[in-house]
Amino acid sequence: MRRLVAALAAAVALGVGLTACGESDPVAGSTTGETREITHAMGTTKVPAEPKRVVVLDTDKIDTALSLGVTPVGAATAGEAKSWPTYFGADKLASIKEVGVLTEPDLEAINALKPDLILGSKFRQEKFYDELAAIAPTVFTDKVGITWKENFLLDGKALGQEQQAKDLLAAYEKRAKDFGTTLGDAAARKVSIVRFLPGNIRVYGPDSFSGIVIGDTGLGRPERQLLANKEDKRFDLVSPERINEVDGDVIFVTAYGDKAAAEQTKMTAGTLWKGLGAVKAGKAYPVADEVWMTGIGVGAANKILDDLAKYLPAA
Amino acid sequence: MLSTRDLVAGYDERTVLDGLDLDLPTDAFTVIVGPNACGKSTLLRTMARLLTPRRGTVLLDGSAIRDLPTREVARRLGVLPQSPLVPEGVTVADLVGRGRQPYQRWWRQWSPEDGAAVDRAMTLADVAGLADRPVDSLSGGQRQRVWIAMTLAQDTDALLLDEPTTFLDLAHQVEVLDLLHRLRVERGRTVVAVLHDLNQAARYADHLVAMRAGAVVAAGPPREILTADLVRDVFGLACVVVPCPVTGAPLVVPAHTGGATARPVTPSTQPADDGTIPLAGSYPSKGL
Amino acid sequence: MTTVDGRPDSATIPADVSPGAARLPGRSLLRIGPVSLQVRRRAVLVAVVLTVLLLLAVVLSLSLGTPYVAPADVLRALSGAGTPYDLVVFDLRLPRIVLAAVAGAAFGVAGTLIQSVARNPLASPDVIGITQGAGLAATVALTSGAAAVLVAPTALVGGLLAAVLLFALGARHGLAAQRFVLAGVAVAFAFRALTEVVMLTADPIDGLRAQIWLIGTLAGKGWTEAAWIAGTLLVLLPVLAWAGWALNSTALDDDTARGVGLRPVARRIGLAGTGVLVAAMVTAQVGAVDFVALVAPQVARRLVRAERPPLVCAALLGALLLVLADLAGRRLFAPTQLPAGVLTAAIGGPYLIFLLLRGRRRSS
Repeated sequence: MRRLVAALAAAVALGVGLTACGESDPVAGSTTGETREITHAMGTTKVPAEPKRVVVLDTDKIDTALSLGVTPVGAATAGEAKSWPTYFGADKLASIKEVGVLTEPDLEAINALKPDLILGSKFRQEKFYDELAAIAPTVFTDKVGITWKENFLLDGKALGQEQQAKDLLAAYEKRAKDFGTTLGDAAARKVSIVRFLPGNIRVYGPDSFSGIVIGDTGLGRPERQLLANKEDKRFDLVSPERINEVDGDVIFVTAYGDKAAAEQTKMTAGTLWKGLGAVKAGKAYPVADEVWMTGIGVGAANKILDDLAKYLPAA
Repeated sequence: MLSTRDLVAGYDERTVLDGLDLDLPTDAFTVIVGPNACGKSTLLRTMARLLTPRRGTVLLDGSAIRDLPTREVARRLGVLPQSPLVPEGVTVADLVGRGRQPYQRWWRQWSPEDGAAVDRAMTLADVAGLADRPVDSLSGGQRQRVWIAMTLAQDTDALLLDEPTTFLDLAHQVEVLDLLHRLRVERGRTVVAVLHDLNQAARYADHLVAMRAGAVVAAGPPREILTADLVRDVFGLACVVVPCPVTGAPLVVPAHTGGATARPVTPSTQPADDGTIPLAGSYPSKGL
Repeated sequence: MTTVDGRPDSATIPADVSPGAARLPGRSLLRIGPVSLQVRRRAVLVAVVLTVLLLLAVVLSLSLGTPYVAPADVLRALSGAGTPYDLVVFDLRLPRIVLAAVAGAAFGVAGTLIQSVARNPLASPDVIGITQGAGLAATVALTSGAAAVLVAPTALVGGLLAAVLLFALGARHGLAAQRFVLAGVAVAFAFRALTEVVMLTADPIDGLRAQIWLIGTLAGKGWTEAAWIAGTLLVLLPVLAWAGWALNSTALDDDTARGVGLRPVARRIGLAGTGVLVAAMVTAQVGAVDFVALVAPQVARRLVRAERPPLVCAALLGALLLVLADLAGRRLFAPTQLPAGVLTAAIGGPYLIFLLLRGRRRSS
């Protein structure tokens, strides 16, 4: 016991001893320039007219920034599925520095990047707001997912690309609608969305990101996935024994992380899964989780439309 | 002085004492004896307010003990429970110092009187030489003397001890009883103890209380009340009572030999009609 | 020696005993006006050493990171001289370091009180269910989309609810050590099971946040949380002063304690109540940082060589441990931030094994 404390004492003393001889790393002064005011979830913030060094703290904001042609200097990762959305191409991500996990960002790493704008979400990082705001102007969106279009427009505005964001969103919505009309009676086609997570299986409702995109096309959803009797219409749990509940005319399947992917492989090899109508008809398609679930941006939404166009032939 | 009036006490469903009236003499060494489960420990614990009576009162110098603040009681009445838990790593002086609790407050944790009382108590109990030793490293006899020193440090007029000699070998039993005797004689303390050994009780007690089934069968000086009839009544044991060759106090000797070989009976040791044996010849040491 | 029947009363001292000769071994008397306190000399020494180490650890923690700030610049910044490092030192590092020290001290205090009442070196807020109660409440708050400011108060309510349950189950038997621990284990299991249920139905990222909370972290926390904990300790200061004294008697069994004029049940309820209150508050603020409350009291006890954990030294050691754990969590795998609770578990796990092995050796 004494040895443990002696070791502790030695470690502390050594640490202080070593640091005492060092020189401090230099820090940069704050940048000044033209600013604009943005009203957001945490209040009103002055941000640079043309932010150059942007740090984003959620995967949807990587999509937003890259969609608007802005490459962030730093981004937070999303826990288990650590990788950033790869659908923009790996080269786009090469220069982005990791700044911790989105629920536990490394404030010092963010500070070291000397950002002039930080984009985050109140839902995820509320407790870090004061510190983040001390580092650089910080704009927070409120909710995650359901309000992805509003979030996109707000972040676009913060990035100084308000008009471009509006245009991109309008283009996406027109494309979704046009795609729907090519299908004839789109509402008659029931699209099922199934996601495997470690230890549980979910179906996604009309208020989820992919559910909203499907809705924009006018495609129909299975009765079970309208979540009519639930207040939270984002998703619902399905027990593995009652996997028959996930049936539809067509099923899109994703898995969050490797563990869930293994569970997906196991389930889809079983007889219950193989008894589904859509599976028998050969209309169950594995799709990317990062596109359908974690992307949550105009980029991901267009990718979903790509998937739909690929698997749903025009009438 | 300690008395009980219409005392009813017990554990859970079981009533052990049912309406007990008892007066214990001041400045005397009182020993309570009786068979197992006769209620002697229950009586001592109730008098020491370790057990709350269901009915009736324990009187300490005429006032009901339950109406007195427990700290004040602790300044008048010291208690040594049966086989107390020895705290790990506590030194003798420290443990004896706990006896000063009733005189201390968190803002007045030690006074010169405390030091003097602890010194006196350790000297009296002959544990001063062990002051810096951890209690859990001591022998049974030493430990018991330390516990007694703790109650002595309380500086009380009366001491209640529940089977203070249990688990000690004979030499240590005598050591502890001698100490209690000296307390009574040299310090004028009132000592009340529950003892298992009838002969030790008879030897040391000024006042003997014999109990059976929750009631007092007889009380008084051992030489007056300890007879073969009483032992048969209380313990259900046939015996002969002879004077102790050393002290002259009554000595109880079981009458039947069981498996042991009986001593050849000689006329001089034949039990007399009154159950006593004339003081002559040698006595079997067995059972003492 | 005094003569037969010359019983000395406490005012007159026998001639062969010098006044106040009996000092408790290893202790000194600290007199402040009418107040006189027994102080273990070794405890004072240990407390001084731990204070110095704590201050060094704080400076070290303020120095290390991105950017590196030399201790001299740290001191200059702290003195308010205005350096380019003010943002890093004052806004990013100092708040959570102060929180770590305050929370660590509170864990040390809570652990000391709970272990003494439980008479068990393995008892801690997470063994007796306080952590789990707070954990369930926090998990519900974090997964139901409640505002961030509501998480701590909700967790506090959860922790106190667990405490009420614990006392309801344990108090009938006078909160006796074994009963207290058993009741706590039952409460802990019940709340943990409920937490699992809530977790299962949560969004994965909410679940992750709840998991981090359950491990305990100081990230994104600072002055507010530190103020709540320090305020609680400050309000409880008179109680803690009493507790420091009352803890001495927790080693006595109930009969012996009553014999010397104590009320052991009331005393245990007072000590345990204070312990769970501190535990619930600190857990609500920083999450379930385990093992500090477990380790600090026992290591401090061994350092002081006392028979029971010393309150002040346990608090100081708890502060030192949590400051170091937080520093390690911030820097070891940067930019990935490890919650402080992971690091304390890394120290506490082996310590627990050490205790168990030692216990086995002693009992065999």
